[in-house]
Amino acid sequence: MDALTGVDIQELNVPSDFNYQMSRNVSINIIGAYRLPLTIRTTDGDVLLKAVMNPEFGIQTKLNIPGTVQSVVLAYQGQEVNINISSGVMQYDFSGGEGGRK
Amino acid sequence: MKRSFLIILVLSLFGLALYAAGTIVVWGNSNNVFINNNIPAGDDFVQVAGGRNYGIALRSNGTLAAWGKNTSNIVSNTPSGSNFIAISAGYEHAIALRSDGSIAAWGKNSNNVVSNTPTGNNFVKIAAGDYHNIALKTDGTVVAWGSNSRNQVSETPISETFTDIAAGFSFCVAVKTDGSIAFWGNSGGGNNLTPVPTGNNFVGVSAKNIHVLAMKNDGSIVAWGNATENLNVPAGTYIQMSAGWQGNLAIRTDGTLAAWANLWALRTIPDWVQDLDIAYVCAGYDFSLGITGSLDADGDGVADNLDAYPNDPLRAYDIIYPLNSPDAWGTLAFEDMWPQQGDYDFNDLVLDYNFKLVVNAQLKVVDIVTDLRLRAIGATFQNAFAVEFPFPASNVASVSGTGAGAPYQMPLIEAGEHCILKVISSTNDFVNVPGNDIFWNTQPELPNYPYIPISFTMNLVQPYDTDSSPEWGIANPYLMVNRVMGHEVHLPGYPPTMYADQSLFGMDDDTTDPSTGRYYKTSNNLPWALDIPISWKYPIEKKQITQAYFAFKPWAESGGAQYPNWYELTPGLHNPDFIYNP
Repeated sequence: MDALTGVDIQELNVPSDFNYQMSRNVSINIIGAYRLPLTIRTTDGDVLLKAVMNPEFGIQTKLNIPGTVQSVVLAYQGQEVNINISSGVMQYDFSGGEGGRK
Repeated sequence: MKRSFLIILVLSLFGLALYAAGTIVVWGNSNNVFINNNIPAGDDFVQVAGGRNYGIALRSNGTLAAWGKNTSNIVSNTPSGSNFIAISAGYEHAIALRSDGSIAAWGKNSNNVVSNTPTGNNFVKIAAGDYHNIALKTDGTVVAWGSNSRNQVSETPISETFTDIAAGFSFCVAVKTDGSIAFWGNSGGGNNLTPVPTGNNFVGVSAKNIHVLAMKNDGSIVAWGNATENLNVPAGTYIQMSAGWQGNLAIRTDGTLAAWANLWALRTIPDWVQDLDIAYVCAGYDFSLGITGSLDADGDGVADNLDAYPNDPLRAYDIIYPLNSPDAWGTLAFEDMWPQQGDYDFNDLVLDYNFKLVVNAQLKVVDIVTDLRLRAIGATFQNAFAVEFPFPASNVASVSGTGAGAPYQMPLIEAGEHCILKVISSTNDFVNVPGNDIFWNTQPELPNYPYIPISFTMNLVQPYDTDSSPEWGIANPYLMVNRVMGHEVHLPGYPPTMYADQSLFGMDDDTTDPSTGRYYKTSNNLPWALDIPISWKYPIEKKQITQAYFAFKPWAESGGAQYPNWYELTPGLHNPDFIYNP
């Protein structure tokens, strides 16, 4: 691969649907049966959210997450699962998903 | 100090299990499928106990729950009723104390440990051993039943009075009313269970297997019995302790947990447990049990140790962008010649941001607290900067702003179902840019000035659910060219506000087309603004971003797939001479 150098910006051939976003809104829907903390962190250890699980409604919100983050770690009740968020959705059921306890 | 433990300390003087209610947590033996599965859900548990592959728990409403391996129907025969106040787990049997002073027993009936349960309504404490039990009566005397293999029943000193009791494999131990220790059973056995510690300063005992823990009135714990790791109590002062077969647990006066054990896996308390506010512990057979403290001063359902606003029921957490850190900054970088292309140095207005959403326990936004750092003005225009929010102005209770360390008026503008906060009415409010090719913090040959801090706090009337936010999220920042309302420059793909001058769309180099959702890009898809998730080192005056950052081109051309960190000062991927980095 040739080394990158400076170019005139008018040389760029950018896809028409590219919006230059370096982060994206991710819809979160995590379910758990116990009122215990859920931590969402990057694989590098940066905590994106730490909140107490609502056993009735789960944790539902949107988070703006850097585009460089392709997957996150969900930590809950001693379990840790890795979730790919490239689709813009972060969904997991700790009561019925893999490793679920209930 | 975690205040929930003060509650335990006070209430434990009455010898009752009146702990702050919480959720059951299990750790220490991930391979035990019986105890790790089907843990009862709920946040109203006040006591928990565990034997061989099973657990029992007491809810604040006086009912019992059980889970685990159903040996001898230890789970399925758990008694019903709503008047239980204490529980204790033996090896494969369990006992529970009712509020009327009677005792229930169930599980494996070895040596009639279940069927010989004494009747009567005069009991105040119970303790289950492996195959025998002991109970404390209202008059301070005790009774034992079940296995008498080592005279642990027959040697019971029925004429003495006690304040606390415990039972191990084949012995009983109790605290006398004078604060000394009494021990019986284990006849013919060794294991260093005798002699017992002397002194009159004991307040509690706990026992399992062939060792005993005794707590003194200064909060220290002494251990004796079989010479194993079970005796290696960490130094410290404690408010609750529990002896188990393979390990032991205790809560220190500062609320932290201590574990010491024969079984290696029980010696470590995992981080996720340490992070909790554990209000009660019990050492099971080969696992550890706890109940989370539910001290929640503001009653919002978020325990104080997790609540960023423990005394405010309307607020619970902070969600901060970028990267949920109060110390992290992102950068908004603008070109201000829209709808004409500019010089692409992206320094006409450079603002760092730290954007905090204060949310309630349901993660709905209550406040928006934003810190900005005005870092560069490479423009001749006196521009303005504003942010659109996806809720109406009527939902904003108050706004306060500061600029350069002084109060700064930030008008809130109604925009239909949205609202707009004009954060910077004019960059000239903070910096007088001479122009004539002399700008502010974009030319390395000129003096560099400290950034100008600007901040605002917006309080909402009704909490806002980000789940219902538009595609652009909760903030749509934009530049107002030369302070002209309607002459808006947004991030690419972000829609204009209702006040945008739509006659400018498609003019000159712009190809904005609201009918197709295309916003603020040129015909060759170049932007006028960027949102970068770090405090970005922007290009110097008149140097294009592609000349300063070599990886911008492949990043943009790949639709963001390649070089996602193009904005970092990666060796070989940038030209330091073209980057403003004083």
